[in-house]
Amino acid sequence: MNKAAINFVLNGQEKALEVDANRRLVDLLRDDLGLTGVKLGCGEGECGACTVIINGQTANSCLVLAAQVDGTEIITIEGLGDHDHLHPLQEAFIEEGAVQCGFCTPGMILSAKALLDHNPNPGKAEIMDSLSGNLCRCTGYTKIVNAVENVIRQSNAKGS
Amino acid sequence: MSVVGRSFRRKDAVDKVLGRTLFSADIKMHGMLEAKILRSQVPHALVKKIETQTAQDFPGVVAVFTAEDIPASNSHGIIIKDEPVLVKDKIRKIGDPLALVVAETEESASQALEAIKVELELLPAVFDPEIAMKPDSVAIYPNGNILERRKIRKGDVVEAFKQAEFVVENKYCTQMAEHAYIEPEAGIAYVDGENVVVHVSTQNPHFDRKEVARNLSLPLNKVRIIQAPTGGAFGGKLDISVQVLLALAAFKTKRPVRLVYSRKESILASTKRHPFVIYYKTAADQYGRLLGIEATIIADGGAYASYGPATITRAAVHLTGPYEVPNVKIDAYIVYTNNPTAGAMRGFGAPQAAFAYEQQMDLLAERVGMSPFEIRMLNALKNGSVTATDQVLNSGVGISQTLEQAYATAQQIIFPGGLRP
Amino acid sequence: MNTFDYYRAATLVEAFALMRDKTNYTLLAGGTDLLVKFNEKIMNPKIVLDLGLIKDMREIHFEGIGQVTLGALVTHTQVMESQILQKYAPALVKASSMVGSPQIRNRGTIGGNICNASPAADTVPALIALGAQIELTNEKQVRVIPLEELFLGPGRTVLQTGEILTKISLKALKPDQGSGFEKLGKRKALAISVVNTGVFIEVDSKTRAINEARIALGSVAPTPIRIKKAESLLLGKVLSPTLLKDVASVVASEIKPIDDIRSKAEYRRDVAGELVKRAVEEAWNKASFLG
Ligand SMILES: Cc1cc2nc3c(=O)[nH]c(=O)nc-3n(C[C@H](O)[C@H](O)[C@H](O)COP(=O)(O)OP(=O)(O)OC[C@H]3O[C@@H](n4cnc5c(N)ncnc54)[C@H](O)[C@@H]3O)c2cc1C
Ligand code: FES
Ligand code: FES
Repeated sequence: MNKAAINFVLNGQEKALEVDANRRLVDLLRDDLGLTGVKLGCGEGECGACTVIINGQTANSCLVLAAQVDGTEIITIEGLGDHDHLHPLQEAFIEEGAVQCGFCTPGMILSAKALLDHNPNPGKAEIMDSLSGNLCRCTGYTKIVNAVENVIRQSNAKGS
Repeated sequence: MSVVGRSFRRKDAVDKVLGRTLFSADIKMHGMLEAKILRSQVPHALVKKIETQTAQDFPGVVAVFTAEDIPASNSHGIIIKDEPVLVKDKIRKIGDPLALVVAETEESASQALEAIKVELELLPAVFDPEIAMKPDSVAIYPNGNILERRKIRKGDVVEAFKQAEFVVENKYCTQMAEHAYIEPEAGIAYVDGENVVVHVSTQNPHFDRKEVARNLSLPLNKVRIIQAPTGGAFGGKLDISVQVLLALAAFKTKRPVRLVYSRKESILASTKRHPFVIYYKTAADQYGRLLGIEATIIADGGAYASYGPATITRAAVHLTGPYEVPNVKIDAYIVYTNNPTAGAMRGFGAPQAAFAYEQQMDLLAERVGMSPFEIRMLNALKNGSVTATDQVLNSGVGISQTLEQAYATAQQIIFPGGLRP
Repeated sequence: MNTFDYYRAATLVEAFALMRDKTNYTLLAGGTDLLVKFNEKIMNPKIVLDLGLIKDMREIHFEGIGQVTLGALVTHTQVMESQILQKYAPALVKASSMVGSPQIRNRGTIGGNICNASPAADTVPALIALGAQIELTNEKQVRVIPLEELFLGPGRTVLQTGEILTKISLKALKPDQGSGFEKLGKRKALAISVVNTGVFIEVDSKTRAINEARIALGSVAPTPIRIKKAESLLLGKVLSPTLLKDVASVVASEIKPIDDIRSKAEYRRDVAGELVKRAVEEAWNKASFLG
């Protein structure tokens, strides 16, 4: 088996790595780079727990070879905020009670972020569609959708 | 009381939204080994031989464990200890654990699994609890497949059905359901001085501790279970998954060991909601008042008992629903089959019962010519009602008020103009 | 996942050079079908050849001659967002928008959806209805075939060693033409189709009679299929509830669905008729509104 050289930007930092040809992106991020906010729930594209943003678009990192991300820009949950500076979505998820076990949460927040970056004022149907690749078994989704709507409302209030 | 009625920010939410919460599979320790389980691919068989030498010699493999290596007991179960940690002689379901490989990497552990040779004598299997109940069925256990039975007897059902104006009789079947918590089972164990410590995704740390101690022949105070942040459970992480195997591996190798199920493995190995067959007969008088119920529940328990006996108790006492029934005859059976083990899942048998009794009420209403609301109001339990198990409900029975409020709200939604149907 | 060698081609020429003299390679586009198979060890490739960087296979064009072309690497998300396709191939846009989830649509490609040759692939009935022709290219030549001639069975196509699906072309819908797509899955997202269907019709703007029709279905046979008997039933007629009912029953009797983990043959038969009915109505409404 050969190795592949990859250069990419991860949460704003440039990375130059050699990866095994059969390494999945999810394993590279979790095991080699310690970004365990990327979760592995199914390994088949069904649950969205492993969601990351690649070039502005969400992807299931369990269905991407690490070798495929050469030349891309990747954002994981670790790139979104920290204890002192929560991203508005992170703040809203806490405030709304959209977090229970928290295993789906990083993926949910990243899917919501990709949506809002693309379209700052989506309707409820678009929010639901953009979260449709992320399963949450605990919350029942209502509070998650509310959290996203709150962020939109707040940013609209600020904007006007 | 300062917290009652107020909303609070969850303490754990900040780390969770930041992706910093460490679930079991996220923990790494220095010198950590990875474990993988060899599982049965057949539902029913006798184990003749498990050959592990080739796997032992595999590069990176540190140890391979089978039933022989378990210091004591080799059993677990919340009510009945009928499930082996590693199968010694009999496989009872697909997914039964046969051997544990511990290796330097996940990859070598997986590869070594394929090098283990298992000799089996296949047995016919039974997947239908009604067939499994019969005396001539394939026997999964020496004493037959009926694990337990619950009876409720009140009044005289024969007489009730004689006097009935309306009788509704049906068979209800409910399906098996998987909890599908988003985090597959995982844990990491290590030895700390004389203690063995297990961080694990679980709902039941005290039970886990006892089972680890029993199987490893350790005093209880030498076993420490730490519930790691748990990515959903819904009843499905009440039973033993990785706990005992991890403790065994850490105890024997003296190194930290991690075991993470794949999604497929999680679905294969974990418990399910009990599928029920319910034969249900309801008797009512000319006004729709319930006179009697005669019913049989047959719950598919799968290969091991788990919470099955408790589930049928709950199902049986709920089978009359929130309705007053003077004459009751209920028999509930929990039956072993070669299906996945059924265990605890939100409601413990009560939802299955509701599926049957509420449909019976709707069908009865239709027969009597009443609305589904009216027939429920007529029969609902009240303060002072006596349940099927002869409990007198002295106070706090709110079903009628709840129904009335729900009805009023539904009216507002369906007929906002205030019109009644 | 087993081990393999990985190569990446930045251009088609590079891809053909890498493929030369090899037979045991697997072409990788978005990887949403392949990675599942690699992980589960259902497929154990020796060589993986990543086409993902070939830029000119990622484009959608409206050609002057009333033709729309899509590179094989166009993703479902690109299809959904393309104004050209929204205007000239709405059934395809609808099909792509119902694939998997946003994550899957962001990476999954049309070429991958086609070449994976699943009988349930969502874009295929839409593309067949829209009269898609596909371009299969090897190092020396290009052959163009109607899409429906690609499939031999589940997972099997006429694609030969050394060939790449490079391009899909469609005739842009005219004002008197309309298309429709319907899918039934077990849920709204992340559900492989129990049945899906794509429909194209052309309506005579004066008589309102149907001039031309194509009805394609997925998940009801080993490959996506056209129901020509139902198509010819529509010809020369104005759409009516009776006609729709007749079309639905012809569809139900012509298909050969099977029982599998997703559904039962009997249910598929009932649903197929109903879905075709809805898709024909959708196509008709679009055609007659515009005309
Ligand atoms: C969770 C999940 C949900 C899904 N839901 C749906 C759904 O609802 N509907 C649906 O239709 N599909 C669905 N799919 C399947 C898949 O996402 C689509 O088929 C997708 O379009 C495949 O494209 P890809 O680029 O990812 O293909 P790849 O995985 O990269 O390739 C698929 C196959 O096509 C071959 N191939 C790819 N490109 C070419 C080319 N240019 N020339 C020759 N051969 C080529 C590959 O060698 C491979 O055999 C789902 C998949 C997953 C994992
Ligand atoms: S782990 Fe990738 S989608 Fe579930
Ligand atoms: S919070 Fe548990 S899965 Fe979403």
